[in-house]
Amino acid sequence: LTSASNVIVQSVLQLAWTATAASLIVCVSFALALRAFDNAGAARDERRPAAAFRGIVITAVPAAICLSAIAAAILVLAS
Amino acid sequence: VDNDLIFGIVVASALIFDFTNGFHDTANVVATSISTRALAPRVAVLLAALMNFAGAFISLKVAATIGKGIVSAGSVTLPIVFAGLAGAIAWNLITWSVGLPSSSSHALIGGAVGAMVVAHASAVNVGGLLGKVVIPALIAPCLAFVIAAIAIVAVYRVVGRSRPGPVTKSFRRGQIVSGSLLALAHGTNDAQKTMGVITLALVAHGNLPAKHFSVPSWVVVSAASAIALGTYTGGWRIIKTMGTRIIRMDVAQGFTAQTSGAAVILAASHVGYPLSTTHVISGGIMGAGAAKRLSAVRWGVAGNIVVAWVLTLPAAGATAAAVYALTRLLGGGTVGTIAVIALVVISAVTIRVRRAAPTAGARPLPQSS
Repeated sequence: LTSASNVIVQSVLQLAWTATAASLIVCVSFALALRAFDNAGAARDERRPAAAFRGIVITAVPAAICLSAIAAAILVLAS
Repeated sequence: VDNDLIFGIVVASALIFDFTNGFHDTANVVATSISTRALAPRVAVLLAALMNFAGAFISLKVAATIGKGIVSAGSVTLPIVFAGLAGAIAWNLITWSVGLPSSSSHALIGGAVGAMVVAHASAVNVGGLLGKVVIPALIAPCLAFVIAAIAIVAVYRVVGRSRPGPVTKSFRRGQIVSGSLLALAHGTNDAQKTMGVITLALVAHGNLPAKHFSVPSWVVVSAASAIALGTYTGGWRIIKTMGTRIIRMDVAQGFTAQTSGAAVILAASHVGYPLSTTHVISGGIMGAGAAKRLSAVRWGVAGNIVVAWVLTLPAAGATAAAVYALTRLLGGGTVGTIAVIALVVISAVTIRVRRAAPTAGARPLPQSS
């Protein structure tokens, strides 16, 4: 009974940890990408092309993290 | 021949259940996207159907749990599987007719266990039922609630000073991705339950060995098609409950609720838990609402949903137990099964005729579609 309980507890902890990490990575990285993209848009409106370009480059980093996390979740499930 | 006939009835019932599962659960997947106007209803439903179909091919761990983790596959007979499905379908239709989101998954599991208890109580794996169904059923909505609450606080903190117009527009686009991910997760977890049931029927019919669990390709394709078709057909009454009556959402809340729900369902599918997408997305919606303002959640509606959750396992189990007992009373096997189907059809027609009678000739009431 104890070993069965341990297995259940471990599975539930794995579920909680994986779901929390995946969800927060996707949501926060998406929000960071949006903020950087918005900053880039504001810089373009103020005619500051260098700042706008820098904003676009910065946007790419959290956007890539967000998309990679989604792709990794699907690949892990399918493996 | 008798055995083949009952096998055909069971497979057809399982696919009808899968269709009603998609029909019933469409709301879970598309309600947030529709209520925040990220997608038009028809487009949202079509996208969800396609992603459901694709999701059904990703994993088979949940099917294995249904097929061998809750009841002993060697003790299952075709009338037991039929009774379990009949209980689940009946409960799904009752909750759908009153517009309440309940859990199709727990209706199916409750049905299978209820019929099994009447047939061979010792073949029910109580440890498996507790560890793989009951405990995840309690934890999953709470987990989605907490994750969505943390995520929305973090998202508001990150985008708080950005210009609202462009951010809202981008979140709407993000919701197309998060909604698709949720539909994929739904297809992965829910279609596998029907695959598990059909595989159990194949074992009971003698087509597959009980010891080596494997799902044939035709089972995967037919379960994927049935759930996708059901999703496309849609459940508009429940969409209304889920999309606007729990909370009124902004796009960031919709995005976090969908992402949290998808993350919980995908993680559960990886462990092999047959989770309820209804439980999870409801928990996510409430978490995203409560983190912003506790009073934003309409707790009365949320309470009704909790009541449906609590009732689902025992109600579907009791219905399935009654169907199985009736099948045995009417001669058992194929004769009993056909007699039960005839009895159910006659009862349904009688109820329909009696309901229609007082309103005949009167002006019809407007329907919520």
